[in-house]
Amino acid sequence: MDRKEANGVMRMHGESSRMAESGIDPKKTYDAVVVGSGAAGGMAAHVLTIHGLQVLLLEAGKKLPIEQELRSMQWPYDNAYRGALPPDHASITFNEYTIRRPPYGAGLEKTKHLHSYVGSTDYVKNIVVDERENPYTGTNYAWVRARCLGGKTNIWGRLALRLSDYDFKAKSRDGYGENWPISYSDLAPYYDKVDLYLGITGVKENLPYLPDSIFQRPTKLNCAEVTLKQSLQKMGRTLTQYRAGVTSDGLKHNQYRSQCFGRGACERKGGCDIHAAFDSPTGLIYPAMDTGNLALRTNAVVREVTIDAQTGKASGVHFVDSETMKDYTVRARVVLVAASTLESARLLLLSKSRLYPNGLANSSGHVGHNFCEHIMGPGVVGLAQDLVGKPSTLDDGRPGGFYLTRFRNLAEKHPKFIRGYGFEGGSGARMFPEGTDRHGFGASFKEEVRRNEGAYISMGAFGEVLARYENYVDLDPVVKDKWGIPALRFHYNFGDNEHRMAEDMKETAQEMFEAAGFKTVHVSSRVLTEGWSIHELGTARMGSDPKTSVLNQFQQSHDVKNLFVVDGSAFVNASCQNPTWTIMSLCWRSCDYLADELGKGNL
Amino acid sequence: MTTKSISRRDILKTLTMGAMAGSVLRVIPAQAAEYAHHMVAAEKAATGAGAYAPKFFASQQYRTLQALCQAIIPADSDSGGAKEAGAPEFIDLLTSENPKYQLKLGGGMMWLDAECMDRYDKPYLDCAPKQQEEILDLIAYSKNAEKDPGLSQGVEFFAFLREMTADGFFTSEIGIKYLGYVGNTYLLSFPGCPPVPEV
Repeated sequence: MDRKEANGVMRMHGESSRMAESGIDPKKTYDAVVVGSGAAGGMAAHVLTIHGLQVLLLEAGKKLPIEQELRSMQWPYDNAYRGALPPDHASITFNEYTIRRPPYGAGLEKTKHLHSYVGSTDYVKNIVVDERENPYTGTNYAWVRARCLGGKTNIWGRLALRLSDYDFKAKSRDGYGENWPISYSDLAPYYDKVDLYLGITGVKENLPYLPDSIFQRPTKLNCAEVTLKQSLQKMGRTLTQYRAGVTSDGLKHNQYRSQCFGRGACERKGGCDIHAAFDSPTGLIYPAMDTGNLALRTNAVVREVTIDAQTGKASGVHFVDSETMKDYTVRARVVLVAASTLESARLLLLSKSRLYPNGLANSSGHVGHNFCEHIMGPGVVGLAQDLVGKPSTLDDGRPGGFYLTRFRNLAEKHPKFIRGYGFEGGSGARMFPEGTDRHGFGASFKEEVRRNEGAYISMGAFGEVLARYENYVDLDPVVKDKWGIPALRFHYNFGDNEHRMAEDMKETAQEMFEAAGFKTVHVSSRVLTEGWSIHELGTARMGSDPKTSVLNQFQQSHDVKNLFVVDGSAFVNASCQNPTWTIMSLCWRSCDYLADELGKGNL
Repeated sequence: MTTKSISRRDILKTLTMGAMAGSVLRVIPAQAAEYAHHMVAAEKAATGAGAYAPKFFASQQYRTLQALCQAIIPADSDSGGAKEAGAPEFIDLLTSENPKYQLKLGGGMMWLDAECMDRYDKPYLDCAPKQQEEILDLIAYSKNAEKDPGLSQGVEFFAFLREMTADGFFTSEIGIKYLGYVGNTYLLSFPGCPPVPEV
């Protein structure tokens, strides 16, 4: 590693550019500074550099040698640590999330590093943060954070779904909450751009509530999945191939990513070391660097958006180097916050000033509020008995199994809850078998595990958590992180609508498996800790009324014209679809607008 | 070797977590289990003679453990059994680091020997094969504990041991081979389900 990299200043990836190699120029005023390098920050860097703007991208974590971290093809017995965490690392279990209260580091001091539940393998430990360096307080929450170049896109689940007007105009349908200030038709062209630029696999279904993408070669369903699909068709429900943000045909315009080769390592909790699955660095940031317009600074923990007291506009950011603890100031004409829903809210609240005493962009008092996500836990495991004893097949050679789309509160109103949920699932043989907790022993037990191996099918639900003002985050008055920055405090719980929905998830899951002729092996009714879905959204919502929203339809602050918050915090509701594709589409749209406005001198 | 200094408690936490999170995360405890296999192998190599010295179970108990593991997953014409796959070493290693496992397995084995003394006047290991099968038949099915509450501790113990034995076996190299797993290889197309034309 050369000295510049050691100092956290990224060298160019691909074509060399003087600007990126020189790191940050303290005298320079960048056109835009982007805080965060995940799905949103990467997209902002991509779009703005294409528009010819000089962009500085700041990432709080390191640039990891990601292929060496992920080792997607490694057999467990070829791993010095056999996949387990090394002795100085531990991860928080479901029990600990349930019994303890944040900050979770307390009482779990036996190991040097402590990670969220995701950081439980040797492959992910360096991607997710150390909980002790990054404490938070308040109500129980499984907050999964990845501070490294690319953020959580390095390990995301890859389910890439669109939202529809069933989501954007949900209030018009059931009276709850607020409508988005945009319609599907506003965002559809940007979903198309994201599809084409990043690649997505899937099958067209023509569903009004789950619009199709422009798909590359789809994966195929295996036999138990087809059985379930056909049974669901009779009930008027749709099961479709996992819509994965994975390029199955390859991308001619991107030299950093390979097409998918169905290697079967996708199930491991980790990422894709050939980058067939989208991640922000190879999908967005390296190509943006190749324009010559992007500078990247890693290890830059932004602690404040600075304000020009004369104009009231954002003037740049203060950050602290995560390793040297040195303070830096950078100046920019526009500031884009893309630090992830909760970190972005935290940064706005941290950016208090005489001019903005409640935090930046917070004249509405809504920053940190209307915090929403997806509830998960209920699900079912079944056995397709006609597959028992069939020869072993390669069933995990694809990015995902199936997605069972929403069916509640579409044409008919459910009497017990509003909004909907979908299921993610899959079937078939895996490296490690199910069913070892069955009865019996001896030759018959051993043989049964093998005979059943490819016949299991399972699915788990993801449901909309309503955006409620009462669910919010604020700054803890006492607790600070490793860099002395006030920690986030949670005031967040699932409500009655979510619990009633979870009850329904469990019942319908079992019914659908029984209707398909599967033998029920296990039904899970347990709701996982708040935050488990890693789909947190809504803490700086968009809207047309500055009194009840933080951002306008272009994710631009109502209060501060040259401040944009381009990540999931802009969501008005969570819908039940996974958010990454919508985050990137919204960001692309907003950055087109931003470049246009900047050109006109309106910012 | 770096592996020697590793705290096994970390693995146990991982195992617990995987169990809580359900089938989707099954790969995690499995990987942890593989790791334990690796450490056992390293230790065997270090002792020279290739013998594993039990860390928790006394020699008589350890032989009982070996017998039980092999009874749960025996060798057959396709593969070795739990013993050949290193399951007893794996279980002993994890148990040596975990008081909960010590209670469950140590206590369970005492229960088993006491029950065999009552029934056959001999500890489990000294029982005739028929008697051993008879007692295992009683504790291998939870419905038996519903009929006879006196069996409940034995049933609980055996369920736990069966899961541990299976983890030890199916995460070893011979266990993965026995299963016939064909993934983790490059594949240009995924065949899917052939007989259904419209999908």
